[in-house]
Amino acid sequence: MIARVIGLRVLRELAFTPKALLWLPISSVALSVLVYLFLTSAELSILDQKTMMFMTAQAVVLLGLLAVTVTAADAVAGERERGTLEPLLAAPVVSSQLLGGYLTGALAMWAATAIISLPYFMVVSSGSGGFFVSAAYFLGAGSLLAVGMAAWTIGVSARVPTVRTSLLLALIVYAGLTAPALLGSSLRTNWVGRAYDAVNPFANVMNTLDSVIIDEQGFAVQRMRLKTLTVFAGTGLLFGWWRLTGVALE
Amino acid sequence: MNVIETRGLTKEYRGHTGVADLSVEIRAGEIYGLLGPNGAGKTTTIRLLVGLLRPSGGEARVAGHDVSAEPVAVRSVVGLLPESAGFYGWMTPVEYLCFFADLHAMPRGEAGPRIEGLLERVGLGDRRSSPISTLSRGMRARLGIARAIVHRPRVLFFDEPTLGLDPVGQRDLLRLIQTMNEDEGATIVLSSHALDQVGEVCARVGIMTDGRLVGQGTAVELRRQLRLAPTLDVRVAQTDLACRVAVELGLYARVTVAPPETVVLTPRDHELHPEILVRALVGAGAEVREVVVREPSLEDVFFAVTQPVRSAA
Repeated sequence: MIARVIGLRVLRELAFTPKALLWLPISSVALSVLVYLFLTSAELSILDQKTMMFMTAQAVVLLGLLAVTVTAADAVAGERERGTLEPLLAAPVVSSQLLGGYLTGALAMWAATAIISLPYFMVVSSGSGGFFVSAAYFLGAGSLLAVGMAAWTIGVSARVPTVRTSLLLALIVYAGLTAPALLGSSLRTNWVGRAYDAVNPFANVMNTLDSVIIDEQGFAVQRMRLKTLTVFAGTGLLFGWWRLTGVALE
Repeated sequence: MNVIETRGLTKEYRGHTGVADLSVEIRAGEIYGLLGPNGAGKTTTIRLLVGLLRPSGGEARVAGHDVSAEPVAVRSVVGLLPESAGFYGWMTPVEYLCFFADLHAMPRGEAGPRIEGLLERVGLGDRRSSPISTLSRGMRARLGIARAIVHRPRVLFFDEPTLGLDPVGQRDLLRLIQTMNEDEGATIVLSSHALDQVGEVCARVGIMTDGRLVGQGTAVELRRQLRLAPTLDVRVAQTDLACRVAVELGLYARVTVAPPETVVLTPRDHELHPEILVRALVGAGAEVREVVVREPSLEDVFFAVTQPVRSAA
């Protein structure tokens, strides 16, 4: 009940602030440009349709995860900086309710990005027959990644003094997760690269999408990667709960 | 009956003591002033009593709940107006109060009339639908009070509530706090370093410095404990002459000039001897305009209590 009250307040705040409202047209324009280039550019249009689907899904996850990261980084640190945290903590609110409320806001950004992306993904996958399976995997795996990223970032946001520090730390982690996974398979030739690839949740989502969309492999192949993502989300929730417990003003 | 009881309450940070060995009892329905200079530990004390900080030692009970073991239960029966509290500027006052009523799980049927009534009482009835970002500082302070009491708390903590308000806003807010105390019957702990304001509304005060409670009681009790004598304020045209005469009489421990034309005399033995002084002054040719016996103010008590501690520190 109280988590819902906080969550609704965060959602309304996002709906009333330009930073959140701007994100939706920005995502839409970025996906429009990408899909337009796939369909009209002489070089890109020769790509295999499955590769186009994979790249569109990859762009959606990148955009959605960025929105989640920025929103979650502002959660507690932003309230502290704006002076609204102390009145909130003076109410009979426990850390799991706070976490639930803040997660609602951060995950709403992921949900909005994912919903906006569906028509684009439908256009790119048109005629391939793989839209539903691919969409289900990118929404499912992407959501686990979003939950984990949001919860870890909220946990960090609970213990840093300013939004700037919180945002900086969160963006460093975002870059650390996404950049190596985007740099290609050449990094995965040695054991360090392969180990990082196995534990990196973003790489797990990309490898799942690659496997499902391009290689058309089934659920059994994805099980280990989805387990890794579930562990990332679960440990993130525990971390966020622990960091929000009782001592947010210490 | 005591609503707040602390015994040896202590809060230590890394290498720094925020509150040291605080023992205090506050009765139900009273307005208790927490006085002290900046950094004295007033805000830390309030945060400990609201359950926002964990004590490093000692114990504290608020409305029967242990602040260490039951912080959520404590927060359900207290209201807090923190120093420089922020607001959700995009909300209207009604939405803002509804949000906090929901956090306290107040039923909608009870919260609606309560919020309407509170907005009228704090003078925001006609601004109930304006975004909070358009309200003045004084209006926001009053909205903060309404927010702190929306759930009918038994104990209210106001941390420097008049900070940043103009004199009229300060007076209005203090009146509002007194009214809330009378109407709601809540116990109020008011932290401030504005001594005149605290003296105006508080029945008892506790004076803190360097994290310690160094004096406690009513203004009269504190004056008695400290053996503070009244002073004689003499308004005279020739202050230099008046000072010389007063010193020569040998009856006064301290003779100071309060410009432009007042001489303040502190007696040696609690006896002011105004007749002897006036006779001597007139005899010396001074033009005496007014003689006033002034009881020590809360400010005098505050300085008498805090300055020895500060000097020792």
